[in-house]
Parts: sequence; C-alpha cells; structure tokens
Amino acid sequence: MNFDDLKRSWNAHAQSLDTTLQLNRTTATAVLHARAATMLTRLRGWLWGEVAALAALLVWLGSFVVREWGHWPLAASALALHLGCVALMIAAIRQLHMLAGVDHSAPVVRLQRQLEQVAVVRIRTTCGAIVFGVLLWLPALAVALRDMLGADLYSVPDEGVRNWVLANLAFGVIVLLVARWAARRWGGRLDNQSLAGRALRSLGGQELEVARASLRELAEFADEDRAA
Amino acid sequence: MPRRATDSEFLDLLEPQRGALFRIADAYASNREARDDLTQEIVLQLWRAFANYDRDRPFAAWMKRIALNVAISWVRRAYRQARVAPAGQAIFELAADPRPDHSDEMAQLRAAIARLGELERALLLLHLDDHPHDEIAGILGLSTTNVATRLHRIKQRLRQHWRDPDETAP
Repeated sequence: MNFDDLKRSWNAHAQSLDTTLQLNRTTATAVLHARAATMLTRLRGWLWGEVAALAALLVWLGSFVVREWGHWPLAASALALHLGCVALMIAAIRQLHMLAGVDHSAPVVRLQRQLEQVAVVRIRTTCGAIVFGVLLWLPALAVALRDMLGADLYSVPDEGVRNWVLANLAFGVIVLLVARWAARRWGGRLDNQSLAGRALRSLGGQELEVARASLRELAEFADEDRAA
Repeated sequence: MPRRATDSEFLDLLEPQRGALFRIADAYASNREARDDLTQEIVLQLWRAFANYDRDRPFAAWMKRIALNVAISWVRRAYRQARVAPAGQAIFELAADPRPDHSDEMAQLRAAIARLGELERALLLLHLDDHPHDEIAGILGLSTTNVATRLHRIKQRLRQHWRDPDETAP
C-alpha cells in the first residue's frame, strides 16, 4: 500500500461520486429560504439583547446614584453595580466588534483563530457575570428595595435581618467556591450543548482550556518552523 | 456593491462542485445523518456569503474555503442548528447508497483521514482533490513552504502507519 495507490482510489471515488451523486434542488432551495439562525447569528442577537438590557440598567443605576448621592451606602452599592454593568457592556460590544470581522470566506486558519478569540472573550465574560452576580446580589437587593419600596436595607436596625443578609452573602460565596470546585472536578463530563453545562464548564475552566488549546494548535499549524 | 444573487445562479454553480462538497462533509461527519446536517450548514453558509462572492474568482476555491471553515467550526464547537430541510430529505442524494464504493483502499484512506486533526484533514483533502500547493496555501492561510512540509509529514506518517498500524498513530 502506498500513497499513490490511494490517490488513484480517491480520484476513482471522486469520478464515481460525480455520476452517482445528485443535487436535490427542491431540498436545497427549501434550505436556502429557511429562516434558520446559525450559532453566530444567535450569539449576535443575544449580545445585542445584552447591550440593550445593560444600557437600560446603566441609565437606571446612574439616576439612582445621583438621587442617593447623600446616602453613601446606597450610592456606593449602585456605583458598584454600575461599574459591573459597564464592564459587561464593554465585553459585549467587544464581542460584537469581533464578530463583525468574521468572514467565512477568509482563509481557514485566520477564521478559526477569530472564532476561538471570540470564544475566549465569551467564556471570560460568562465567568465574570457569574462571579458578579453572586458577589453583588446584596447591593442589587438594597438598590432594588430602595427604588421600589423606598426601604433602606442598610439602616434596618434589626440584627436578625442583618444576620440573614450576611448569611446569604456568605452562602453565595460558598456556593460559588463549591460550584467552581465541582465544575473543575466534573465539568469534563458535562454536556457542552446546554446553557447550564456551558456555564459550569466555563466556571470550571474546561471551556477556556479547549479554546486555548485550539488557539495553540492554530498557531503551531501556521508556524513554518514547527512544520519543518 | 454586491449584486442580488438568485437561487438558480447559485445552484448552477454548486452543482458541478457537489462531489467536492460531499467529500468534505463526509470527511468531517461521523455518520450519514451528521453528514446531511453538515452539508445543510455548509450550503446555507455558502448561500449567505454568495452575495459577496467575486464572480471573477474561481468558485471551487471559494466554496472549499467556506466549506472547510464551516466543517471545522462544526466539529470544534458544535456549530449546529436544528435541521431545516424537509424530514428524510438530503441536499445531496446518492443514487447508489450507502457508498458508491466499498474498496479496501478507500476504507483505509477514509480511516487515515479520520485519524488526522481537523486542519491536517483539510490539507490532505485539498491535496487529494489535486489543488496545487499555492492554492492550498491560499485556502488555508499558510505559506506554500508550510503546505509542502506538512503534506510531506502527513504522507510519511501515513506510510509509517500502514507499515505498522499498531505502533504508530498518524
């Protein structure tokens, strides 16, 4: 067996396909006109949704900070949330900008690198959003209670309420640490098709490792010195 | 300004390339159903990119660049969506199913291709389809020297594997 024999077999296979393979134009036309969203189209839609929601949150939090400026615990809480939202907004806009440059007719190595770079930013943003959600839920609660009910969580004299709040914050941190540990340990077995599976694999670092490995592979593949 | 493309213009250009497109989908999909899904993804992506296709450039190279990009993305990150083709129908239909050939050599070549990484698989497929090195370099985004070196290494590994299949992995 040698490569030339196989090349001959391949050519014969190609010729045989040309005679036995038919293009079903009816099915093809149905596919062309189907309203199907690719993964990238869905991601773009999701990111625009994120940007719109974050913009609304930023306006709301900004006006809250101005209103409560004299009351520093509430203003500081809203400011922390504001900064978190700004970071998420920057990450979403960065991903949209990166996706705008994605062209499927670009050379394979370049396009695959672009897609993996988007994946890295996306994974880091998911991790950041999870940590942000767990650590800042208390300021979020304080701001929401103030805005909707006029109540000030920080001035509640009841020790029981304060202890409940602190216990919940501690519980959130513990849940985050346990989830990260469990995701690191068992994340490899999780399904990466579901949203929850991907979020846990992102938290556990498996998703980032896969994307980094792909980027390394692409760099090595394009590196002439390594090919030699 | 890209001009408006018609279905028939697109399908007329696609028809002579059906074998090449089928071989790419076949090389990256693990079974017939997956191959049909991947074919659908590729055709859909080709159609969406067709508005920007420069008619002065060869369709085959443009088509293969997109097909390989979609196939590799599909394998790497499950770049998939729900099937939109009517149930039980595929874009490409084989008159003599399931395979037009059953030769040992083709089976060996298929097995060898399946053992390669996604990028090397693309390189070998283009080489088997008789693309010159500079064209392969353009499609993949590599230098011509890199293409030649990598092809030489792939062939070497395949030869080694065929000599001693238990000892080596391509």
